[in-house]
Amino acid sequence: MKKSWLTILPLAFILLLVAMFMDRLATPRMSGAIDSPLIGKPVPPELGITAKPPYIINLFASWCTPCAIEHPYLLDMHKSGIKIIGIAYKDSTANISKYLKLGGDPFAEVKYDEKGDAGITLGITGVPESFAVDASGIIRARQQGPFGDEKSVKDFLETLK
Amino acid sequence: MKQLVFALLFICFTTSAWAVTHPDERLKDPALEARAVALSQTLRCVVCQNESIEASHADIAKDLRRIVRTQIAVGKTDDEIRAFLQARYGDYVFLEPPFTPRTWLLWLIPIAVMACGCTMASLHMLKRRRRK
Repeated sequence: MKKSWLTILPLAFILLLVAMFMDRLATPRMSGAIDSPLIGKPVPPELGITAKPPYIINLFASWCTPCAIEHPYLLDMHKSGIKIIGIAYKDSTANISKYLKLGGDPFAEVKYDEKGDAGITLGITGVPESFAVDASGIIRARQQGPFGDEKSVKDFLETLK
Repeated sequence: MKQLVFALLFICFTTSAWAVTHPDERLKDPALEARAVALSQTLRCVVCQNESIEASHADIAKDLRRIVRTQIAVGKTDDEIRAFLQARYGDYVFLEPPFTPRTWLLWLIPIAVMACGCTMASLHMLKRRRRK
């Protein structure tokens, strides 16, 4: 009796591992999403944002195609009265003003991050990325990549309530 | 001829031959540069598949290399730089996951499996010896 228990043990262990991995693989997860350690923390002062929270921080660039895709969602947010601070990531003032003239300007303020330092301060992996900042100046959510639908915008803004 | 082939092979396997840092990126002080390289090799390029920032051509890796070098140049310690990056990118930025409540299982499973295997094997061998 004792012997059969011992022979089953490794098999049971492997099955347990398989179950754990399957569970992790099967759970739908935003592609490449990494939890930001900044969630629950105040906005880094190095960014030099002086606007009064709540607001959304959106990192974008005129050379970034996914940014153009999410642009209508930003315009919608702006229309509904949400303050959006834009951070132009590795871009020039000339290109940005052209981009905003063409596509509409949803930003309350645009900051320029020519070298990508602000990007690293926020721990981004690319543009676009957005951060939701609540009334007390605490980062509540992060969106990696563009807003893809109304629901992603709604879920994101929900964190500010 | 043989020596030449060996010499070429050795070049291929030295880390400096693999370095992607542009000469302009490097620090002038060789000791500090060596520190920067060693530290960068433990930091993950966050958009790559299991590549260090030292080995990656990605833009963000280049930015992180720059940050590491500027911080080393102003006298920050390796631990301070690691803490700086951890506060922004989380544990994911380390190629070797730190031992935390979230990762202890990952670290201990191989040891546990080895211990289990060794115990089972020795029990088995003891039994066989006794039978003889």
